[in-house]
Amino acid sequence: MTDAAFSHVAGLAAFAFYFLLMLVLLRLVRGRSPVAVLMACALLVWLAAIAVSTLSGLPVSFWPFTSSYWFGCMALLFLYAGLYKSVSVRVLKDLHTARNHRRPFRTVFDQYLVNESYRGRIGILRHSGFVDIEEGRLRMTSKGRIVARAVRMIQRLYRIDRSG
Amino acid sequence: MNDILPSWAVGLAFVPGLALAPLHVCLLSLTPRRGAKSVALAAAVAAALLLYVLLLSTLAPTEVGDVEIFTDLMSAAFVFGVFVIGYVEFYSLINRGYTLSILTELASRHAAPTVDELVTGYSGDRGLEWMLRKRLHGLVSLGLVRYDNNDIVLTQPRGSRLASMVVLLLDLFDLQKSG
Repeated sequence: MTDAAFSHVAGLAAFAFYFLLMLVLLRLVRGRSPVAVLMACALLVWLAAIAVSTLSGLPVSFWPFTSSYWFGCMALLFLYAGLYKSVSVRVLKDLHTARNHRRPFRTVFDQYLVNESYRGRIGILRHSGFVDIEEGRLRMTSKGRIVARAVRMIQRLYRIDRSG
Repeated sequence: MNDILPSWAVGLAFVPGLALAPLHVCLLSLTPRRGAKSVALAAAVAAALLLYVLLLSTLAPTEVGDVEIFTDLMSAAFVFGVFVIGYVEFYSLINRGYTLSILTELASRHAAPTVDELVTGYSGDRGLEWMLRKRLHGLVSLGLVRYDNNDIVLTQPRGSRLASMVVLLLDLFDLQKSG
């Protein structure tokens, strides 16, 4: 096996270690943004793997190792982000657990979309300091206004009229 | 750790990766139909790949022809893949992000709405129901769910199988409270 091929294998092995660590961390770390935790963990495992291979004198080349490792991490984070907070995934899950795999549209809309998902997201926006609720009305903070303006600028660049 | 400097094949993979966003924006401005967004994204990835092949064939020295070319190109493909995944994630957030959409909706209003008013006023007065129907339309067109009068039903066996896999993945990632 050449050094480059060995480095690809080492990158995949480091990714496998990250995957297992991620499964543990997701169950241990609560109350923090899981995506931020996963990204920080990916960076730490990568740095640790580089340090270990340098100190141990293994014939690991930087780019084959790094490219394999980060490709695996990004693919995994892509999968995770697709499941986390996805409305479609939640509907599939609810239908799977429902009797006869069926639910009235109105129940899905009222129970899940409005009461859980929408109100949950309003909570995220409040927790992040983007909006406040004053006298029952949603008011944007200056931080929220800056973010919203930046998002609208990017959306206009991509010719997106309305998202969601 | 050896060879911190990238080879030509790997170094050049950064160019199409960084060119993805400008290529996509250019293609979107050339696309007359609003519904052709995913086509423009796929075309941008294809154009970036073509750019890479052109750069590699014109700029790379003879080193590219050595015995390590396969692993070198594999590294380059992974580097490009990281850019593609990151960019697709960014674009779907901007294009379909639910939380961001609530934020931009609030910013576009002169008067502060109540939480309930925004349920019907979401995304330019189309309302949250429009958003749910849009997501369900996607699932229906994939053959995963169907409408039966006022009910939403998982299709058999396709929808049911995929939903089982989704539930397994949600358990694996400890995402019982997804959505």
